[in-house]
Amino acid sequence: MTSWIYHYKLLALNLLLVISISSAIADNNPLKVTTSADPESNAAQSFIYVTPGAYIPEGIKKDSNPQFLALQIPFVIELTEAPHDEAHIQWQISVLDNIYGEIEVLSAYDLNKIRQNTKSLWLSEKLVANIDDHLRIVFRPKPPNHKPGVYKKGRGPNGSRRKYGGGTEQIDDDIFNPRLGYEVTVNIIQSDEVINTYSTTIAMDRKDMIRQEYINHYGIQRYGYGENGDLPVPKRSELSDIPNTMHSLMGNPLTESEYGIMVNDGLLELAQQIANIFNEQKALFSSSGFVDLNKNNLSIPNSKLWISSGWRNPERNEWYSNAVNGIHQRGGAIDFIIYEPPGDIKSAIAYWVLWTGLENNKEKLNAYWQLEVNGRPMRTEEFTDDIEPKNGIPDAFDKADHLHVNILYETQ
Amino acid sequence: MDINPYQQTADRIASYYTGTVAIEKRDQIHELEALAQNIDTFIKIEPSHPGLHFLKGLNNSLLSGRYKSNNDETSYQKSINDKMTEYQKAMELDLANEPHLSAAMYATMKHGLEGDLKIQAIQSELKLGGNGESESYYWYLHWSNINTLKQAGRLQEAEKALQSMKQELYEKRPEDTLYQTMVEHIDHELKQPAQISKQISQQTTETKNLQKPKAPDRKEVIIWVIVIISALAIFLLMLYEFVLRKK
Repeated sequence: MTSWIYHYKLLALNLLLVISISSAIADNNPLKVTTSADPESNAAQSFIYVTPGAYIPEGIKKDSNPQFLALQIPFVIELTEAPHDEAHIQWQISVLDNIYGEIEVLSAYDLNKIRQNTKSLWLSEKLVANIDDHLRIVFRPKPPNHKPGVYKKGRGPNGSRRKYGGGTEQIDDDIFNPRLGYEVTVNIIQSDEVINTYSTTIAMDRKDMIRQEYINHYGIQRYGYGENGDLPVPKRSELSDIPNTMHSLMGNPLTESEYGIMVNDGLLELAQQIANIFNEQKALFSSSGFVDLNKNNLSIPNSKLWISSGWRNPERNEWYSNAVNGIHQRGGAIDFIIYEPPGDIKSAIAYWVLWTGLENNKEKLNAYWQLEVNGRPMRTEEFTDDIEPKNGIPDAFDKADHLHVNILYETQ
Repeated sequence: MDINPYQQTADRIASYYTGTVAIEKRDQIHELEALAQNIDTFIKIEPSHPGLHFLKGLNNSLLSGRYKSNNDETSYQKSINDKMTEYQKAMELDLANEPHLSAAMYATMKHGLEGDLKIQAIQSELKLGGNGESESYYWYLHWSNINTLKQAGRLQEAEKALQSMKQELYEKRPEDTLYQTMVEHIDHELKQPAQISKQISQQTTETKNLQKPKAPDRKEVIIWVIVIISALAIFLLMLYEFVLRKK
C-alpha cells in the first residue's frame, strides 16, 4: 500500500510539471493587454461596453451593495519586447464579426480602414522607432446600437418574429446579443519582410455578454405605455453556475438560457420551499380530506411541480415578454406548472392544493406569488367564481397555466 | 381621432379581463352592458369581423360572473349562452375572413367553451404557436389537446395528435430528453382508460387513513450502494496490508 501512495504522488508531481511547462510556453506572448477596469474581466481579456457619459447601477441581487458601473476604459495593447531600431512595427485590428461596428482609435498614429475579404480591418503604417507610442495601440470599441431602439416583445402570435420586435432565445445572435470581439496583431517588419507576428484576441466572455444585455436594456424606452428599462447590471460575482434541481422537481433547469451560467438570487431555496409546502399540503389533504365548492370530496392527485421558467437573460425576456423590467431577470423569480394536462381536473385540484399551501404558509415564505393565465394574473373574483367550467372548482384553478413566485424585492 | 374605432372599446374590455378596473361592482355591470351595446353597433357595421364576435363573447363572459354574484340567474344564463354563441361565431368567421384571431384570443376562448368547440379552440391556439411566455407552455398545450380529445372519447384523434407532437419534438429538439420524458408519460396515460371528468368526488373516508407505502428514493439507494462498496474496498485493502506485513 505504501508503494501505491508513492507512485500516486510521483504521477501527480509529473502532471503538475507538465501543466506548468505548457502554461509557460503558452504565456510567451509579448503582448500585454488591458481591456477593463474589472480585474476578472481584464484577466479574461474580456470587456463590457458602456456609452460614454452613461451612469448605470451595478448589483442586481436583493442584498447587493449598489454602485455604478465603472466608466469605459480604452483597450491598451503593448508590445513588451521592443524590436531593434531598424525594424518597423505594423499594428492591425480586425473585428471578429463584420456586424460589430466601428472602432475609435486613440493612438498617436493613424490606422487606415480597409476591407479584407468581407471583413473590415484597421491597419497602421509601418511605424519606425521614433514614432510616439509605436509600441502600443490604444482603441475603444464602437459597436452598433442595441436593436430595436424601442423595447418590444419579439415573439409574435404564431411563434415568428413580430415586426420591429426584439429579443432572442439564442445567444451569439449577430443582431441582438453578438459576441463583440477584436483580434489585434502586430507585425515586426525588417527589409520588407515580416520577421515576427504576435496576435491576441479581446472578446467578451459569457459573463460580460450577459452584463452587456442588461446594459443595452438600461434606459430603453418601452413600446407603448409603461416604464423604461431600469434594472441594474449584475456584478460578475453575481453570475454563477446553474445548480442542480432536486429530485422532487421536474422540468427545466433554473434557467432555459443557453449561457450556462445565471443570476441566482435564492432560486433553488425558493423552489425547495415551494415543493416542500406543496408536498405537505397534498399529504395533509389526502389524510384529512378536501372538498370542492359543492362540498363533494376531492381525490388529491400525486402531481409534481415542473419548473417552466427561472432566470431569464434580458434578450430572452424581450423575446417572450413586454415587461422590460420583468422580475425573472433578477434571478429571484420562478414559474411552476403542475405536471398534468392543462384544463384537466387533476391539474385544477393540484393548483388549488398548491395555492392553499402557499396561503397557509404566508409567514414562512418571504415571497410573492400569483396564479397566471394567458399572460395575466388571475382576477380576484376568479378565486370564487365557478363558471368556466362549472365543476365545483374555482375558475382560477381550472384556468391557471402557471404559478409565478418571486422573493420580495424592495419595490414590491 | 381613433384610427381604429373599436380600439377604445377593446382596450376597456381588456382592462376588465386583466382585472385593472377599480369601480363599484354595480357600475361595472352598467359599463359592461354599455360596452356590449357599442360592440353590437360595430357588428352591424362589420358582421363578418371575427374579432368583434370574440369581443362580444368575452364581454358576456365578464358579465356572467357579475350576474351570478348578484344572484340574477336569468341574466347569468343568457350571458353564458350568448358567450358560447359569439365565440362559436368568431371561430367560424376566423376560418373565412381577415383579420384573424390571435393565439391569445383562442387561449381566452377555450376556457369558456365545452366539447368540440373547446377542442377546436385548443387546436387553433396550437396552430398559432400558443400564447405562453415559455417554451414549456407550448408542449403543455399539446398535452392539453391530446388529453381533451381522449376525455371526449376521440381516441384515434388523440393518438394522431400524440404522433404529431412526437414528430414536432423530434424536428425542433432532436437532442431533447426533457420533453421526451413528457411524451412517454402522455403515451402511457393515453393507454389508460379515460376518467369521467364529472366523477371527481369520491367518498374517501375509508381510504383516508391508509398510508401508501413509500417507494424507495432512488438517490438514497445509490448512496447506500456507494457506501457499502467503499467500506468493502477499505476492508479488503486493510486485509491485504495485514497479509503483506505477516509475510
